[in-house]
Amino acid sequence: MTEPFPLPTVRSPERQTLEEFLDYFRGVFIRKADEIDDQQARLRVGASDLDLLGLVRHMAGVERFWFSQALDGSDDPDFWSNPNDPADEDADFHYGPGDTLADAVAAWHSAVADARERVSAHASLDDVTAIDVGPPDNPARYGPRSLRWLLVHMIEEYARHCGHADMLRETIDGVVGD
Amino acid sequence: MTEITQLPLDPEQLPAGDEAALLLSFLEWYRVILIRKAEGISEAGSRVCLPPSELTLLGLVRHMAEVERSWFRRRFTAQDAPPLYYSDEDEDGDFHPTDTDTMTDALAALRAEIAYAQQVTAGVPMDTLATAIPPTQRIAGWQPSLRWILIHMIEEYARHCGHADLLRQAADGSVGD
Repeated sequence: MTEPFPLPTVRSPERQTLEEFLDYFRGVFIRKADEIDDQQARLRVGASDLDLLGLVRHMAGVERFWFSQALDGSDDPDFWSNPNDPADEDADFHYGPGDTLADAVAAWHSAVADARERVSAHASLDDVTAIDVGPPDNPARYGPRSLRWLLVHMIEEYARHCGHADMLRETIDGVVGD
Repeated sequence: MTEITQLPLDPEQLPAGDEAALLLSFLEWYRVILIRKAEGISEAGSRVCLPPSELTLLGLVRHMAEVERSWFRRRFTAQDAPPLYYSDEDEDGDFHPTDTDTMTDALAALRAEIAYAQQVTAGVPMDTLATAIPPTQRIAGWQPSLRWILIHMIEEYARHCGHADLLRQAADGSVGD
């Protein structure tokens, strides 16, 4: 099993608290995909089409998008593409029969390592993204996002997907918790 | 059918907000998303679960009323506020509604706890420590800052909204915020 990250310290300054919460939830999230096979990673519950393979691919892409492409304006390519539909913006969730959880987890680890390096190179939470990220029809509508905004957003995005992952993993093998 | 609560200001519109503005805005966003997941659903729909998980939308709303009450009444302001739903006999009583408990009552309880929390956090510096030191807390003298409490509440709501996403979709097909 991947080791859990320690619980966030309770009386720390802003930046340290945000980074500790984000790391904590990265750990909770990726542990949901530990020790399951490619078939289990494709299991779905209820009426939802979410599964752990799609979620891990999604969060690898989210890390790369926000910290590399948006924050630093890099031209790193997207991790995933849909061979049947190059314009598919949900290619992370639309994997093929040969796609593996191992590849998804490896992509996620590499995106997270890169994200940590990029964040540590920014001295201030007031630093803003190199590109505007807004509604698809008007990306410049709200202007660039601060690193502060980005860290809070990543915490809630991970936490919500951890909620999805909780239900999936419990259905797969009964494993619950952080 | 009751009216559905409007979404608050989308935190997307505060790309350069300061710490307090951002944390309070993201927390408000998720409070309303959970409430919206629970509104406009039948009492039967509020009890749909996806076994083996025993979570239901009704249980989640009752749980978050307890969580708000615990953090902002008992810990942040040291108010003497006993639990609403759980007890020594059933420590997960919030997740165990009886046949006569209703979503209407649960939402009213959640809204009352949220109103109190909003009142005691408005304008308060983020380094402010919780007033109460729970005697049973595993770390002696464990008093988190308001900053920690707010970020914790955001992730707690967001995670339960992830549960609510799947429950609401299973109940009536509704998705999204």
